[in-house]
Amino acid sequence: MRTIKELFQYREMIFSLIRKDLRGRYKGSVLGILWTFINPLLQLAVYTVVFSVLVPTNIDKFYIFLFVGLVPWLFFNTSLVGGSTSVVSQENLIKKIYFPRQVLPISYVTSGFVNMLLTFLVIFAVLILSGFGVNVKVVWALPLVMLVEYLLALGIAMITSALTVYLRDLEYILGILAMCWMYLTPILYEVDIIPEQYRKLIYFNPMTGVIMCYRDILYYKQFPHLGTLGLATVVGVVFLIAGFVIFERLQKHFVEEL
Amino acid sequence: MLTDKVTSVKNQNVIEVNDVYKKFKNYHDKSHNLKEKVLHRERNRYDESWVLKGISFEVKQGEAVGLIGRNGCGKSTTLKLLTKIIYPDRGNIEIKGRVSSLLELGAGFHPDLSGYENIYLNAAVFGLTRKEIDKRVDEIVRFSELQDYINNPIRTYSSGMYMKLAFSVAINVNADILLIDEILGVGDVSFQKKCFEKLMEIKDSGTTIVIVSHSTDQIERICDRSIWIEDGVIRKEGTPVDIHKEYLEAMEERRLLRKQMEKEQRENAAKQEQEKADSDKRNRRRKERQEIERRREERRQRRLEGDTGEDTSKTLEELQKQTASELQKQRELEEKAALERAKQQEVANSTVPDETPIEVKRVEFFKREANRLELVVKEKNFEIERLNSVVRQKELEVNRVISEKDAEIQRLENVVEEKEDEVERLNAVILEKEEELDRVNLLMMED
Repeated sequence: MRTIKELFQYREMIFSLIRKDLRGRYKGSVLGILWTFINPLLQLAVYTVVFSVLVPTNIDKFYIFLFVGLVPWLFFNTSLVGGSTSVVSQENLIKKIYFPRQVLPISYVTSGFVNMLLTFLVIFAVLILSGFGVNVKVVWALPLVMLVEYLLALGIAMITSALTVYLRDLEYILGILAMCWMYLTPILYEVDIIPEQYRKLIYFNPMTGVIMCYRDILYYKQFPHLGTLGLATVVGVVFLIAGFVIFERLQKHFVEEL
Repeated sequence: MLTDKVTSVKNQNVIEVNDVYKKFKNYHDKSHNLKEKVLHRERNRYDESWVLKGISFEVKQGEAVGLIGRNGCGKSTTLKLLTKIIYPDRGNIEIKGRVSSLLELGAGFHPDLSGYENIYLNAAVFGLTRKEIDKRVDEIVRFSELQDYINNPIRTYSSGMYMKLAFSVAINVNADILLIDEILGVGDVSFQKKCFEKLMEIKDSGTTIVIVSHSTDQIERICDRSIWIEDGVIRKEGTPVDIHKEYLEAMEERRLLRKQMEKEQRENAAKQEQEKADSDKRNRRRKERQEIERRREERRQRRLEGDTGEDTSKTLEELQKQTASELQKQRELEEKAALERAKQQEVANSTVPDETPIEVKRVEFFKREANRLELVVKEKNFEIERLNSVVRQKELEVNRVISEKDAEIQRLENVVEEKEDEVERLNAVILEKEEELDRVNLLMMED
């Protein structure tokens, strides 16, 4: 509780770090902030070419099916891999001055989240311009799903960023882990294609529910399955609490370990 | 949130430090990655050192406290614990209110951003909200005296300007507790004075201040109380003037003790050196003595053989040789002359009966020849005589020189003997003195 109060006190620091990150992300590049939009579009193009020309699937409008899952995944991926270095990279600040250390993963994940929100502008543009359309009756549930994903990503980033201080290899291990995780999440495929006996297992992956909810809302244009959404929410909250607890324990020796 | 700190309860503890222990791990060879952690377990060995061994103190609202102690005593660690940069291993620390630290100035400064933007950035790191920063930014700029440069990126600032800006932000945070570590050395003299005045002002407004400093003078001027930390424990606390007097005395004592120790070490080293040099000298002296003995023996041997030098005898020999050759010549000439005379006689005898003019002429010729030869013989004889006298003279001279040299050799030998005796006597004295020195050292050590 005290930590949360303190974090609220330090909100300006979080904001300024997010601003610095967003502004600095494509600093020096010619296209600047446009990369936020171009990057996912190019990825979309690659996957579309691969899965509709080289390895055709029988999923209708595959590029949209893929896009609405891929963008949320990229945010999660960034939080998982990049978030792990959010503490280590601010070594100098941590050694010099006190501030609630949670500020660092929070601002990192939040800036990724803002980036995802901007990308969603592209998604909506594609949905509307392609004539696919958006179901306004269910789209209000989207922020809820985003929030759940944010909590999950933040919880995981808290854990990885604190552990990376003690074990620097984690950054690279997580890179491989993230790749495996992506293929274990139904982004490129439908859950139905998984053989019956393994299908239960994929629900242990906390990202499965989240991606399914995104797809329900944007691709199938229906309200997400309540059970899926509820479970995802619980998992997200559990990860967040675990993240805070673990981070709090580990952060006490940050300065000595860095 | 900053409402009337002065009127709030003055006797409330805002800092409570309860029996705090802190250890540091000194890794021999720190490894951070998995491979090293698994493969080189021995590299993860470390020494533990307890920097703080049970420190407890309290600071009341509005109080100014100074922490003093020599380097490495744990005072800066204490301050870091108060800022929560590090955490205690045992014990706990309670702090009420916002803490601002002047430990590391300019944390979070970004070189590419302007001074103005950095004020926002740095103040945010101190936990100020945007509104609070908006309220203070003018005061910060004014205090830093950098109005003309405030829109330039701070990478263009001089280090003095950089510190001024950083200090201005830190001191204008309006914290409830201000922690300061040796920083009243920012900028020029007038700025320092200004900082000092600001500090007094802050103190008067009821801010609690904790200072770590080596300058007891500064602490005396600001603080109400001093805490003297030594080897991780509090040695004494009380009014700055009393504590500092004792502290400085202890430091001086310590310094003298260390100086004494160093001196002794140096002396020991010097003594060893001296001993080495002494033994070298003794060896050298022994060798010298042996050499002298050897030379003396040689001389004695030579004298027994009767060898009195080569040079004089050589010239003598030559003269004798010369004389001999002259004698030989003389004899030859005499024989020749005798032969001539015999011939003359014969001629005279034979020419008596028939004295022909030719015969007479021949006789006369031989007579003349004989006279001439006789003259030559006389001449040669004379020469021989002269050479003989020269030889004698030389002989005399050589003898004189020889005797002279002999006398000199005798005299020098006497001198050498004298000197050698003296050297021996001095060596004996040196030995005696050395023994005495050893005895004295022994006595000193026993003392």
